[in-house]
Amino acid sequence: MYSIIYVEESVRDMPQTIEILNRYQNAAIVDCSHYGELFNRRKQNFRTQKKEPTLIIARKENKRILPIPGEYAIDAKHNFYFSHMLNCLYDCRYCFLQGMFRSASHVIFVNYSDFKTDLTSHIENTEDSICFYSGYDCDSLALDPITDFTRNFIPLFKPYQHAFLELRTKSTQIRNLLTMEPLPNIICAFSLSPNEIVGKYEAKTPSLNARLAAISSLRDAGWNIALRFDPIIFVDDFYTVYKQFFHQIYAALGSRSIHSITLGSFRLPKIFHKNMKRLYPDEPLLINGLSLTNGQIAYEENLEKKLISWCENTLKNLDSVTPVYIQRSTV
Amino acid sequence: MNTFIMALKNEAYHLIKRYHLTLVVHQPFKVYQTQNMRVILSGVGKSSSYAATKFALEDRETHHGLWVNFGVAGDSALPVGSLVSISKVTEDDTGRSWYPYVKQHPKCYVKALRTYNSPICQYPLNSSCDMEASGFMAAVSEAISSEHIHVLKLISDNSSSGIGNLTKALMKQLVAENIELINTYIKSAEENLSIEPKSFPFSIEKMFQGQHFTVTQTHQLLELYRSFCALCPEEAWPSIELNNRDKPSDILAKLRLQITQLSPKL
Repeated sequence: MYSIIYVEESVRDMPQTIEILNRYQNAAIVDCSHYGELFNRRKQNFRTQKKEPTLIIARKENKRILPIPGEYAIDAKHNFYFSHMLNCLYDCRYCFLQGMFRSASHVIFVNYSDFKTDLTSHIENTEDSICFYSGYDCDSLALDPITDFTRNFIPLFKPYQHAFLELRTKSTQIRNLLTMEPLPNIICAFSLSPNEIVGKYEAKTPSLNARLAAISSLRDAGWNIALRFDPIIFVDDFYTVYKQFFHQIYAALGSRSIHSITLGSFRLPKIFHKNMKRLYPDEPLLINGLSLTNGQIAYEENLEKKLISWCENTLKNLDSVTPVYIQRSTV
Repeated sequence: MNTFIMALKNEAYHLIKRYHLTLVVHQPFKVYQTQNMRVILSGVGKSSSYAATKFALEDRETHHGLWVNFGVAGDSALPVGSLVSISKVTEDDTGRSWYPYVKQHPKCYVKALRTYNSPICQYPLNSSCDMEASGFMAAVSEAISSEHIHVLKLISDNSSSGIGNLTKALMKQLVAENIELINTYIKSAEENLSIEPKSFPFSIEKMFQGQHFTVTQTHQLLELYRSFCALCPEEAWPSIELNNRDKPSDILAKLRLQITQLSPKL
């Protein structure tokens, strides 16, 4: 998959690095002193790089655990995110990473022990509920066979009942999870969209049916499942498309309990939207019905409210038990 | 338009021939050109390479093409005649590094390179070596998107042959032997060029000929035009009614309204 792999000199001999490099014996290995030399340089084109992304293996020096933007909290008292990876295998046209990062290279931070030390210290510093989100700057599971993220991080949460880890994914890479003991404080949160949207805007992702099959397998194995409908996208025949979609999900998943649902309409910080429009000037999704709302580029306020409240009501008619959290546009 | 920055005429000779380039500029650097490609002869050394690249960058129309530093290089181990796509360029005296874009090709090696101030006899262990690439990279990296930048080297001397055996004739011969491989590499690198943003077609430019748009208004007009094209790919221009009294701001307002109305309704 990767023909060029850049490796920070400081992690060249780490076991995690060696394991990854062993998988790509034909790749050209290039030493670099810091991943930022490649990832953050000014003149690059995310869209072009996405065609053939390179891999960078690096060390995350500091700021490993960060507080999450307020709108993303669910029900824990303290909420943080961390990223063992930057960027994603998939190529979703609405994804804010395209507007946030200059490079489409995949970065894997292999100093897991530093992450684990930081996580433990955050967890042990509080007795209140604390939740860590791992799928903000990447898909938590898409590269799990390579990163071994789940095997490395999930066991850390076993002794701490007040600490939660959300794995956010569109992936069907659940093999590692199925060989592990399910823990009640791990939330496997699947991002789902109607087939029409998967086909049009979520390039390289597994189909909706494949994701639903992965969800069923995990649930049968005893893992907590959460559903993420974010972004809700305003398409032609919106009501029909999304009604069918919600029904399809509940038909596939049956009545067993779901941890939580979140809903959020398509929205982007203004600067990310500007960058994305520069990359995809021909993409209607980045124009259709959008305007500057509450400091973000989003659907006009009334439209957004209509979309979200309709989705919320439809979901509540299908499932009155699962808590639904709305993630609104804030700056 | 692809731009090749090369040190010597002998290195460029077979490229000029293969692509039917003609000499169009004599000073300050010789430029050989056709519609799709140009070769700029910089002379030897990183300063010359830097200056020639800066000179070439003045033509902004060429920024969407490939930018290639091509020439001969030494290497401790690779056989003479090997084509190498350089993955990292390090300037020997400053330690500064750059990362040109690499396109993997089965017949092409991938390796790091060190740029020296003068010819060397002791080849570095893990890198090829030359005298120009860092000058090229220092100049081009500021202006050109990284996916367009390549450093391509042809090994002309190694530990067994030594630099003493490198002649003008050998340079020409090595390029001649690899010319089709170089061509294949360039074709494949072109696949990674970024998409040029849509600019106004001539008919639209003509429509607004009499109007005085400020620079900001021109950007806004172009932005609105691109939005319109995205929403209505089949149509050339929105059906808005313009009259002689419309100022640029009125035209922009009408266009904005039209684009808003194109969005679907619940």
